[in-house]
Amino acid sequence: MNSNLRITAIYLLLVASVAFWVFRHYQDLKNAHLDLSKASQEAAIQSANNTYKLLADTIFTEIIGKDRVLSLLREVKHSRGNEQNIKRGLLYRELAPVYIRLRENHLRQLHFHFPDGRSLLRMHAPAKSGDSLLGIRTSVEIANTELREVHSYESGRVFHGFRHVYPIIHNGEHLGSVEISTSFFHLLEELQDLSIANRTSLQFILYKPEFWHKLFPELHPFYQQSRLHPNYVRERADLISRQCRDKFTSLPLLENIKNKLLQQVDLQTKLDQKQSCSFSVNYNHTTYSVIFHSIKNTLGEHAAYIVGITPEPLIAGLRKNAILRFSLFTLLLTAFYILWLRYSALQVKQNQHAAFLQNISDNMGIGLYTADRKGYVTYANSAALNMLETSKDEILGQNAHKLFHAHPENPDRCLCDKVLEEKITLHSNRQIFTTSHARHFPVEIVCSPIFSHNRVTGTTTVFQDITERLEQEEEINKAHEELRKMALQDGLTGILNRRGIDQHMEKIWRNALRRKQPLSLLMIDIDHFKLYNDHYGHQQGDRCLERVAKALELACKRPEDLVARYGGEEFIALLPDTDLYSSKHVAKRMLSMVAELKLKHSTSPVSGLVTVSIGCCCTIPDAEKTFEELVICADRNLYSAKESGRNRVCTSDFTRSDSQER
Amino acid sequence: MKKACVIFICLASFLVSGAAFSARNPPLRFAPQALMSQQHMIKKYSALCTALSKICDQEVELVYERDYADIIKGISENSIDFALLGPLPFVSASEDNSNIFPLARILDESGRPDYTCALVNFGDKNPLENKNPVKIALTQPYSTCGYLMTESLLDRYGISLEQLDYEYAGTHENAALSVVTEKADLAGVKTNIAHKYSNLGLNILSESEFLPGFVLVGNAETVSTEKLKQISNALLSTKAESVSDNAEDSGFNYKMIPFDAQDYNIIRYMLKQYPVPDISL
Repeated sequence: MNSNLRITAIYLLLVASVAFWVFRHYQDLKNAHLDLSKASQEAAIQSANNTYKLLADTIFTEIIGKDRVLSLLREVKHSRGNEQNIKRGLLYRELAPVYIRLRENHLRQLHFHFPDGRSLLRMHAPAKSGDSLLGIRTSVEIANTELREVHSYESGRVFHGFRHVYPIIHNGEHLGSVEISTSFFHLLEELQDLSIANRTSLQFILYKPEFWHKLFPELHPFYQQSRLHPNYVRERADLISRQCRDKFTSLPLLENIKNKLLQQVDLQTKLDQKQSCSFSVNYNHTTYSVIFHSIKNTLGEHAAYIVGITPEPLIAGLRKNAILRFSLFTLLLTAFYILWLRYSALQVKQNQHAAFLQNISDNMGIGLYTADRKGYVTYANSAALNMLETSKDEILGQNAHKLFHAHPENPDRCLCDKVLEEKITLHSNRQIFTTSHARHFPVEIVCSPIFSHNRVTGTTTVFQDITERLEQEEEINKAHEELRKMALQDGLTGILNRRGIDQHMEKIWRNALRRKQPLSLLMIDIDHFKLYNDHYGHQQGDRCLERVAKALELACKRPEDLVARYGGEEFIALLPDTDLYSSKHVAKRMLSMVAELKLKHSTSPVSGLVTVSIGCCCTIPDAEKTFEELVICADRNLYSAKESGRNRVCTSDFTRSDSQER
Repeated sequence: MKKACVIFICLASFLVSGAAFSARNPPLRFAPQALMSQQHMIKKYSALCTALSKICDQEVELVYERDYADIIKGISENSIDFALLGPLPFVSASEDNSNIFPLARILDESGRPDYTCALVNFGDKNPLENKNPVKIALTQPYSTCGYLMTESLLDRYGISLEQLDYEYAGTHENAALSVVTEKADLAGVKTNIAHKYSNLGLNILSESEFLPGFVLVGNAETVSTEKLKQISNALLSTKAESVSDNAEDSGFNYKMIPFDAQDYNIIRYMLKQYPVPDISL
């Protein structure tokens, strides 16, 4: 979940970064284009200005410079009162025809000044003269004090525009100055023709603090507040000529663009800086550049703006391109994001699965480790670490064979090597592992190959410490042996009981049958043992049985000879590979060894001591004989021994079916 | 079907009400005096136009006509609802059109209810004394200071315009500058214009007696008499400041006085004495 949040945050950050980068790139390109447009328009403004400057130069040289005009100017300067008025009228008369023609060619003002800065004659407003322009018209002051030409924008009491002021000096006399200025709207017309192939709409807004105090108060109504900034005004659309109005001011499109422009947050700030600046505005599916060209007055101070509004299909193209790029990048990022989310979800599942397996692995109580093809351990579970008394740091990356997997039965070949070779799972319950403390312990292991793309990349070995199991097995075996012995032994005498002799009988019989060897069987019975018991008691009887059994056992010298208690006071001896003669000899030894016990039996009619009767039978087993027949034979001979007086051996060869008495 | 009828009725109501609304609010048209440029006219009379709109509670638009004759014709053809007429055009139009309803007299910029006309020349030489033929510039036939008063002033010298070479320059300024530029030897203009151009050597040869000032009139054919009376009363009781947020900036600095028909008898008298050719009476 945290991972997803982090990835989502990174995704959003990347999208934001892409947006920022694309926007910045678009802004850079747009600004570069706007700068180009601005430079182009400024060049056009300069060019238009130069055109009118050339016109002004020509007027000054060719018209003002005429002797007649200069002479009249001198007369106006030197006359007073009505005479001066008449001279001024004559000057007006002289220049009026030319002025009318110049008006038709976009000249707006032809204004003469006295050397002291007073207005001498305004050809455009001839009724107004004599007013001082000092403090209002810097250009006039400069021309008359520094006696140099001034060419710049300047506001005035009536008109504002690009002015060309020339000092008039004739025959060394300073007669004053003359201003030749052009109609601003004509300048705009020239600009349109020059620069912008009529695609650009131009407007002129004036910086109010710069000119408002100069303006004749009765002309204030000719201006209206600009909607763009409180410090700017423009000429009222309804008070300027229809021609100008139609071209520059009243287009609804421009007003709508201005409305859009007003939504630009930095408009006021930039205009406050009084520098040239540019904006782009989207209106009616078209992008427009709005470029404010700062117009400086004679003193180099900001005085007005020429505002150029131009449709800019290139910027619209840049914007579309930026949107497209942003969309593509976002799409790409989104695709990566979705893929990552899916991968992340998969990884979470895998981790959960791995954790599940790890949990199982750690808690299953069986050691598990994996190794690569070279036998280096790549993983070991907790049980494995516990059994090997080691840690992950000590085991991971180590060679399992060298570290803990000793296999002394075949030191050169590990079970895991075979697994890698044969690509099969192998099992062994007799492997030896070594702990980090050099303690060996037996393990049962199952080693399986790890497949990756049908290639064996290593092995997985599951092992279990079987030390306890082996110990338990040994104990069980011992117990079994004990039980087996107990089942086959007589509890009183310690020799085989009847079940024990039965168990051996079959085997001994088959051996004799296979080897064609003689087999002798002795049936032994303590004589009058009932009387002994009655006389000496059962405890004494039991001791008698023990001692007789011991004596019988001692009488059989060979380990393969078996003596067993057959029941009550009856014993049986089975003597493999013993012929009748030898068995008779053993039987007699039994009689003598019992006699040597010298166990008193006062109630015995045979002797005052305990004696035994023995029936002996010998045979070489074959397919037609059975062990039971041998037993019956021995038992019959015992009966014969008893019948014939007891304390004796009665023998017979089973093959001949006769018996001999001692 | 029912739904369609409802929609049709709503649509029809909307169209009828829209038509009624537009019929109820056609803009009234105000033509101030013609002897000035359109810019000057707009500047000077925008505030008065606004005042009329407020009083009428209806939009009033300025109409620029270069010639008094066109204004008088516009009134008679009901294409003009209000006009500002000089004394001669007022008297002349009133003779022809009984629907011209005088609302008030307007005082000039200096606050005077009357004015004079002047005969001007250039410099200190009187062309009437030694020049022949004499060229004379007039404003317009319907201008009081045009043919009528110039003829009256020339009469003092025992000369009639019919003996001279006269031309209409269109405006007082043009007539005055015609003399400065030697297009004419004399001009008949308002005296304040003559003073204004004295800095160019314009000289007043003769000045008329005082004449009644300009009259704001309404067209009783297009605006009801009752309404016109209301307008007249409102204008006469209204101070300049109250009809404009900034009287100085708006140019509305005229004062109004009640109209008195008697004041214009002098024009009627002079018209009889000096008939003006090219105007209808």
